[in-house]
Amino acid sequence: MMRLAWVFLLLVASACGDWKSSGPDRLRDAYPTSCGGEDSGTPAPDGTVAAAPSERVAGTWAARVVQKGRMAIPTVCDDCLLTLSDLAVVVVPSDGGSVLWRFCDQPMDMDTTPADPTDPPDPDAPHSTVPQALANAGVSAGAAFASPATVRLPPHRVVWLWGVRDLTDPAGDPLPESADSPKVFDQDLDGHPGVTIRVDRPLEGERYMVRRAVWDLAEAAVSPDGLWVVGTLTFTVEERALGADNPLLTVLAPITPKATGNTYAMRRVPPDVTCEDLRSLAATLFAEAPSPGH
Amino acid sequence: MTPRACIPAVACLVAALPRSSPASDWTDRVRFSGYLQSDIRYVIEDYRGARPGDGYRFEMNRNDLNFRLKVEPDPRAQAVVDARFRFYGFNESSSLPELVRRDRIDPYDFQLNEAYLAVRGAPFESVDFRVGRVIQSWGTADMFNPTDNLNARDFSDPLDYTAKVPNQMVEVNWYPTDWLTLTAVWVPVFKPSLLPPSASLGFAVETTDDGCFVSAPTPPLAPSDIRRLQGLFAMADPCRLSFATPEVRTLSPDTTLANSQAAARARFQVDLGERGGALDFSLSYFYGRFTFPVAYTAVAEIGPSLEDPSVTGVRYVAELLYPRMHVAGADFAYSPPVEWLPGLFGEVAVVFPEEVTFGLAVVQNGRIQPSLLMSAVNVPSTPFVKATVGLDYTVTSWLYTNVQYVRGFFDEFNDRYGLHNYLAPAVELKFFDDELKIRAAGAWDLDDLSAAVFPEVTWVVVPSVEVTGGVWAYLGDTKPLDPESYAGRSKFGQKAAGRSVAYLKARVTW
Repeated sequence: MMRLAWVFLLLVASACGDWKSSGPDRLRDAYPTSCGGEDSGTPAPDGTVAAAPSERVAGTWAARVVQKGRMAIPTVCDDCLLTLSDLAVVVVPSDGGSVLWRFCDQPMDMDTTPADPTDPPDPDAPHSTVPQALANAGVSAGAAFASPATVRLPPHRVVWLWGVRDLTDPAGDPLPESADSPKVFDQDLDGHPGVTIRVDRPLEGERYMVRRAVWDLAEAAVSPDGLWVVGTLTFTVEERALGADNPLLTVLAPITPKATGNTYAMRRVPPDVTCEDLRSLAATLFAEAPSPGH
Repeated sequence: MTPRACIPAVACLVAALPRSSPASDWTDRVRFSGYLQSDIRYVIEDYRGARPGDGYRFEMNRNDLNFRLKVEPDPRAQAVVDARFRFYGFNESSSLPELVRRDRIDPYDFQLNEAYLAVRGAPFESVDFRVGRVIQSWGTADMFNPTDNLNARDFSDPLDYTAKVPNQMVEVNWYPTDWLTLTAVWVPVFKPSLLPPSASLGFAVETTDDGCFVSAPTPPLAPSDIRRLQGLFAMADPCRLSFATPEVRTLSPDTTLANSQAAARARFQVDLGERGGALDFSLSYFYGRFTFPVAYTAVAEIGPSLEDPSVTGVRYVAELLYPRMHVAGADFAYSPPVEWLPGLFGEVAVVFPEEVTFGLAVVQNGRIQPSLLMSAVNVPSTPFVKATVGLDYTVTSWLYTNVQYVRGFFDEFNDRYGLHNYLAPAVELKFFDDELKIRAAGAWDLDDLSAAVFPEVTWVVVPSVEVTGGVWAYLGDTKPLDPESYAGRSKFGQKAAGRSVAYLKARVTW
């Protein structure tokens, strides 16, 4: 009887150990977790680009075009606030003619809980990575300047196409729906139609797509110190998925532009500036950009 | 070989009998009983199966043959063997080679319900013990016994919901006085409950007739996470979403000493005198595991289908575990001294559960998608109460009633489904000297208002021969009342509860 009592007490004592079973811990042990993106690093604090002050708009500019919109993304949010900050090198020819835009990068910020605009960026928000091959891509810009000596950037439209060409009206023709369309080309030369976008969240994968962004830039004056041109814009973005390595990624979330908060800032830079310079120095370069109208 | 030397082996005990007993005593020391039962059931609906339209067919065509042998080789010793042969009555052959196998054309199984030896007055005068395969019944309530945790439940036949899974155990009873019995039980190895055939429908993916995706089982997560998951699948064309049959694994505990189960009980029998009636009550304790598995992990592996890359394939693998628990229990049964008062009984169990956190991951290319790793506490460590209280009343010689309030059904463990409240009434009428019995019983979920009802009529043809006909019907919504909640399933309405059937049983006992 005493032995049985001891066995009983032993069982009770052994029953009071670690009393938690964690499913998430078990899953983390069983499966590796995707890294979800690389550390982009911090630009060097002293890496500002020397500019050539001038009151004329002709010259080379680093441009940041901020576009704010809303998206409904399955699994993430019904009403995400999206901020695209396209970076480009802009050349206004000194002898007149069209403005040349060279696309460099498209940092994206997604706020999945946009109720409070002061919230820090959500680290779990979806990300996508634009291929390096798009850097230095030419962008069609419709403005022609009567005089290169002008001190104002006139209103003009910029149409930026990804993976599609030979449109009669780049801003208005319908985008191709299929990879078989002759207007689709493998712009990033990776063997897939259109442009391949690496998507990190909510699912990992690659999406093959065509895209059109149309910016209508409002007129803006060169700042008195000749360093800045800052103004507002309206924009539209259209996308078509031509395929993906996961069929779920062919579902696109349309971007609905916000009516306010869309701005562009151009800072004068040396003529030999590269996209690499712009990507690494963007935070520093645009830190002191004035607000539109100032 | 002495009988004591072969205590663990019932067979040895039986084999020793002829030498220790004269042949003339042999028949006095053996009791043989059993029954033969035939059971035919027919599904009386066509909406509770895996696919709409499955129904109006025979569900069962079964014959059971039960033998119970009780041998007393010594006035203080007893060996009990209770076994059942079950013949299922449905052809399971599906190919020509199988037509040469009797077990495919006439499948059967053998079940050893009990096989134990019991010794009275050993090693001390006031001590008994039992060793072997035993079915225990603790508690005083009618079937809904939250303090009865030693044997798992056998729900393989939903109509026989009192059945239990036998298990090997050691039981010691000590009688220090004539009004107190102290019991200790040790169960070395855990055994889970048997689930009904419909249980897998709880994890079924619903599709249309042409295979288009409709819905997946709702996991025990917060509604916001459930919405995210549903949104993920909503991204795809439902007809280009291919769900493999979900794979549900159960994690059984290791067979170590620490995973043994143990229980103790102090049972008091108090005679309150001619005016007071009789009162039985018990205090009990149990350490072991909940015998119904609870959701622990789930992985939805997503990728292009191998057959058609434009189709999204989803492989869903879930893991369930049996959480540990301490249970402190108390029960009572009171028999009044006069017939016009009802008998009362009640039972309460305070469960101290192991905390279980559920995790769900969406996996692609063998890696967890970081934003789609979701978790929620499925079973909090907070103690909770399961209880039953009821009364039974013999109104007249031909009318008997019984009604119980139950908090927490057999399979409820305060996970995200929660604990429901039930009313379980039963009425029994007897006519023609008990030759004809009409019984109506049921269980009504007071939270979601679903119910299981089972009216039946029994004709006692001759003593020991009964023919019973009845209906077992589930009432309630088969669809989740709230698709965004794990608790949204209707208890008896959900398809996993089982099929509504009409049945005919014939039974002879001896």
